[in-house]
Amino acid sequence: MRDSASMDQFLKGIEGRAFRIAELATSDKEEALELVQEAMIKLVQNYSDKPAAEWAPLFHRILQSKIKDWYRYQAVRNRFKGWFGFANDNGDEDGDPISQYPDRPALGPEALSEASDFHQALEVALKALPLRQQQAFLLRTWEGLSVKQTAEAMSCSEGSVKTHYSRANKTLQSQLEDFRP
Amino acid sequence: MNNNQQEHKILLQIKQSLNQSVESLDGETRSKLSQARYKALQSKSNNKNWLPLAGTAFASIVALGLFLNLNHQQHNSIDEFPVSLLDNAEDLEIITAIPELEEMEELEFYYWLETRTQNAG
Repeated sequence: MRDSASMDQFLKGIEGRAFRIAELATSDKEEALELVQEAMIKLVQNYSDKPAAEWAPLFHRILQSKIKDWYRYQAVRNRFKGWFGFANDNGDEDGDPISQYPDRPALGPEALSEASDFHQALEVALKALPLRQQQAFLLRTWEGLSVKQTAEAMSCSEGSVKTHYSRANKTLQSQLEDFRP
Repeated sequence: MNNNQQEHKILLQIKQSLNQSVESLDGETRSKLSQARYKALQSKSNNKNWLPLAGTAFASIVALGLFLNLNHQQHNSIDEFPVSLLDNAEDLEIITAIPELEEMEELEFYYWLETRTQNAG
């Protein structure tokens, strides 16, 4: 089956990067694997018949949606924990699960100073970025999606993508400058 | 080196570093990703396999529901709504019949024949 072989090749080519993108978003290897698998299944089941050129933006749109769902789930779980007195509720109720999720690691300059090389420093700097900045940067720089495709993947406006990307780029440029070989 | 060149150079380094992080993924993660891919590719054929069964089951449930409903109405108000079992069977036949492509083509032929006859007349 040509289609099946093409899809296999496509997924093979994208799976590693997709895993890293999900891992950077969730800071959890197993969750990242789960999200990538769900995104793969949805792409295969719903979009196999689309032209192969459309698979990458579609796949990232699904993956971003899964990441957002994951954050939503985490927000609900944390709210339940809050009700039962297991965690603090910061009272931020703006409806955005990503901004409500409080467990993102807070990595400051001290974490960056512990990095011994460019690769480690990049990991620390990327994980410290706000999620939308991080994902916009990865989709634009690494995956090579256009502003429009990134906006569609992240379900936001093109203007937001430009802002997120610009801020992420500025932060990374300044933080990684000292780690250039 | 100006700012743009420097920025471009760091972006290139970032891409290289990220690519390297994928190349150096451990065997367990690679294996799990391969399994996920295999599962995803299998899901399409599995998904297709149960669709006809689900369709048949759904059609059967609808047909049974309709049959029982009409039968129930017949027993409750036989004077107001005289429906025989034979009528029910005919209804079912009409509802569950799927128009074949050949039949549709025949309809087109009859329409063409009618038009032609009118023009000739």
